[in-house]
Amino acid sequence: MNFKDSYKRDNEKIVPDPEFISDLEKKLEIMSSQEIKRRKNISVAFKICSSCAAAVILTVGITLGVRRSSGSIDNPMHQAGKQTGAGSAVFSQSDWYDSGMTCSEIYEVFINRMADSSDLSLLYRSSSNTFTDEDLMNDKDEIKSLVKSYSRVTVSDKDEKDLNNAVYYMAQFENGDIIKFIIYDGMYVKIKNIDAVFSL
Amino acid sequence: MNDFKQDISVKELFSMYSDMIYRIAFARTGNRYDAEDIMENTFLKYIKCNKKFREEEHRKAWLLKVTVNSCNSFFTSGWSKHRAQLDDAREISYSTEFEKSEVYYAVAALPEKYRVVVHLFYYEEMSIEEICEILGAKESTVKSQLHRAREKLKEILKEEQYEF
Repeated sequence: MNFKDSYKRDNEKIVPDPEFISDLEKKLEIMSSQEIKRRKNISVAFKICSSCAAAVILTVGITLGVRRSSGSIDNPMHQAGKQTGAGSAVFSQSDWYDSGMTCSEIYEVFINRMADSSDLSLLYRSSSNTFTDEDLMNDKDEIKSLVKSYSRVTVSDKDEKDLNNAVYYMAQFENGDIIKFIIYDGMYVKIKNIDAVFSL
Repeated sequence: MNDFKQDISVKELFSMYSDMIYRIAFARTGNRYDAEDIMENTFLKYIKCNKKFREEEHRKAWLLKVTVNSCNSFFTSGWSKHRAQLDDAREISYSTEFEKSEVYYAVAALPEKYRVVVHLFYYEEMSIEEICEILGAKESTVKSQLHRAREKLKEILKEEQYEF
């Protein structure tokens, strides 16, 4: 007897309750149209906020004569103003993922964005949590290789405080998002503000 | 000709994927109600994320990943931990609306993580590489789990001499 055929036959009989499906479908149709409206509203609000933020940055820049400091460009405000031009708003780290996601899902969003050359704008690497122009990674192949190495991870039960040999990274994306992460011992990844430690 | 549609209606989404998601959630949880919760959770995430897909296989893989992650979250949640452990697979509250073979009970008796690998390999007919992508696991891990699952199944089903 063939296991696969038997297993498939059994599974063909497993179907969700039609009444549950019908109710869920209606619920999701309502949610779907609400989500579409919400995204349209956010898009309009974003354009307004971007314009206001741009005006503020420009005004502050002119007034204070903002220029690059002696070395540290850890401040994302500085980074956004310098690299992406006056038209970009500054985003906090938490805006790039949905708070309802699991840690694994968040990691998937993170690594997909890192792998997307049209999304990832700049990547810095440093031995500390501050970054200078000298820390900018220019070698695209090296970045690709780094992203590929850490594309398949699992949630680890390691505690961050027990990990060593930290290498700090700061990724900036086209829309102004900034994601900071640390790689410990060459095999553990910790994204800032995300609870989990991921391991190869 | 590529006839992939990025935006599909809820109805189309359900007709294409509700059975697939339900079956994998059921394989993992062994419980119709939990499988329904997981399916609802998966579809809600689909709508909220509004993810862009390159092709239909990409959408399917994403839905499977989210389903598996939802199952994992379910088992690590406080509520799930307080449920009584059931030693006998027959005592799990399966739907009684269909007759189940010894194969079904044998798979149900496997540890949770093996059930998903077995389901993806034998029912969804995915390659090891595809299963690794879905589970976020190494190839060696998936191969080892599949091997151990087969060994256990052979032991349970030894009298019937199934081919794997």
